[in-house]
Amino acid sequence: MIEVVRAGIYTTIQDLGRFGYRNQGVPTSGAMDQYSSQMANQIVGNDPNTAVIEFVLKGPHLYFHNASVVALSGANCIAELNGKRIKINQQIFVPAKSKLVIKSIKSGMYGYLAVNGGLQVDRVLGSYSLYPNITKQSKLNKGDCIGFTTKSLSDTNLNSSISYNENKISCNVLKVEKGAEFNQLNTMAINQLFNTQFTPATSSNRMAYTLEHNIKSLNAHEITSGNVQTGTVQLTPSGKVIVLMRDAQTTGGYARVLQLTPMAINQLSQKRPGEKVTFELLKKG
Amino acid sequence: MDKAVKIKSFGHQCILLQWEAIKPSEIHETQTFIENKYAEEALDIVPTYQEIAIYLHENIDKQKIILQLKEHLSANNPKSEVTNTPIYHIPVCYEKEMGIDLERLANSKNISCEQLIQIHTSAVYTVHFLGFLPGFPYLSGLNELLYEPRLKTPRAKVLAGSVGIAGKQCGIYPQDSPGGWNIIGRTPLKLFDINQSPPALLKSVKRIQFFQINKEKYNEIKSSCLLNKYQIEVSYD
Repeated sequence: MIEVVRAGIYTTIQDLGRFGYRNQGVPTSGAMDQYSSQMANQIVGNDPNTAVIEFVLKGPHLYFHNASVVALSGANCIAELNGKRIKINQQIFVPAKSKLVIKSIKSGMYGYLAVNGGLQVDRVLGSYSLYPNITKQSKLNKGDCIGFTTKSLSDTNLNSSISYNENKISCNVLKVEKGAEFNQLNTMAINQLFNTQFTPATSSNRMAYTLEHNIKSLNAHEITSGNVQTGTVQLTPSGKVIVLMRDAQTTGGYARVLQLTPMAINQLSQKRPGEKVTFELLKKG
Repeated sequence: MDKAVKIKSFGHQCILLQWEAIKPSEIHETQTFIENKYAEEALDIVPTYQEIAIYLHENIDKQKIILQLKEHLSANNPKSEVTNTPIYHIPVCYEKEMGIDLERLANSKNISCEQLIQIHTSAVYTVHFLGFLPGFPYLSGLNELLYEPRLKTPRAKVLAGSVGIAGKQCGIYPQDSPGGWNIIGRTPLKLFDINQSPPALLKSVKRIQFFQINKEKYNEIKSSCLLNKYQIEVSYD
């Protein structure tokens, strides 16, 4: 059992998402950076879709009542196990009655803690991801206790060396496809979209990242509510560039100018306010 | 009416079908066709006013399905047969404390609150699709007299069950949420319940009509909903 001693800013449980309910208005949710959440799972010998703990900017303090093997991945964090510094992206043996503390996050936004065997939490509509009004709670709070199942450690290769390619996530060129309303943009607007450095606003969260820019003439008309998904780049009449993230609603009324590739969604999720990103059109074929 | 469908890629493993103008019954017909044909390949099939998004499983060849759809949908325009879908009757309490914008709306339209309620309850509404929040229905069929733009500043909290108007649309909030729709009443029904299958009350409902209840009846229905004992009344034209 893991006890939440300190919850952090917005600590949740996530898998790869909730599918099959979008036509009932249910967001897909899922880990923000799925390259890293899958990596954490892989390191401890779990299936990629196993539920992990996700934290953002300021991590949780956790008390392990039972022994486990865990891995941290994603945001580059300074973490301690019983006061001793531990590394990310590798297997860590956690003895019973241990305190695992995420002290600070040096770079990136979202961090992941995978536990060998997986967390024992409620699966709702096919997913473990927390989301308000779907799951009983929307985030982890101080005092919460999470059970976990342990896979036999002999099934887990403790010396496995899995390479985590940090450059994949730190890349600040986001690959995109054309969105449904891309063709409504004029040549100047298209040039501006691909030659501007954008930076995430501080309001960015699991639902959407607003990208700040200083282009004056960039805007688009509202549309009749249409389909949107994670990675949809919306342009509003007032010129806001909003990228929908994992907890985004399923339909929306702003022009959909671009669509991020799956990897670009992971990359953007790790960008902090002040960091710069640019868009690059994916070459076909 | 231009029934030509545009079929485009909408990001990784998603296909978007778009029409210039299409009736809800035609969207529904096409949706049913795709649901049947691609039950294995599709993860989610999501209709909106003039679109259907088809989200495919990771291992499916998207280009192949785009080609199949082009062939099939250009040869078979959806037929707009009028079928008599049942009308579901939704109880709404229009009293002041629940319909917080009702009086303002009635005043701005120069009608009485009773007249507004009468206009709102006499129309049959089409459920176009669910979106915005889990279980939230986008309804058309609102009488022109009641068209009203969204609030300039959205409220921080609109209560679950609130029936609202935004532009030409009518909708029902399934859960407490921030929102900018003009609220004219509240239904005691649960619009979304993860313990039901399907969780969204109006998932396969195509037409609804509202009827007025008082606060006492509201509380009574609310209690029976909690025990899953309320039966929605259904009628046919």
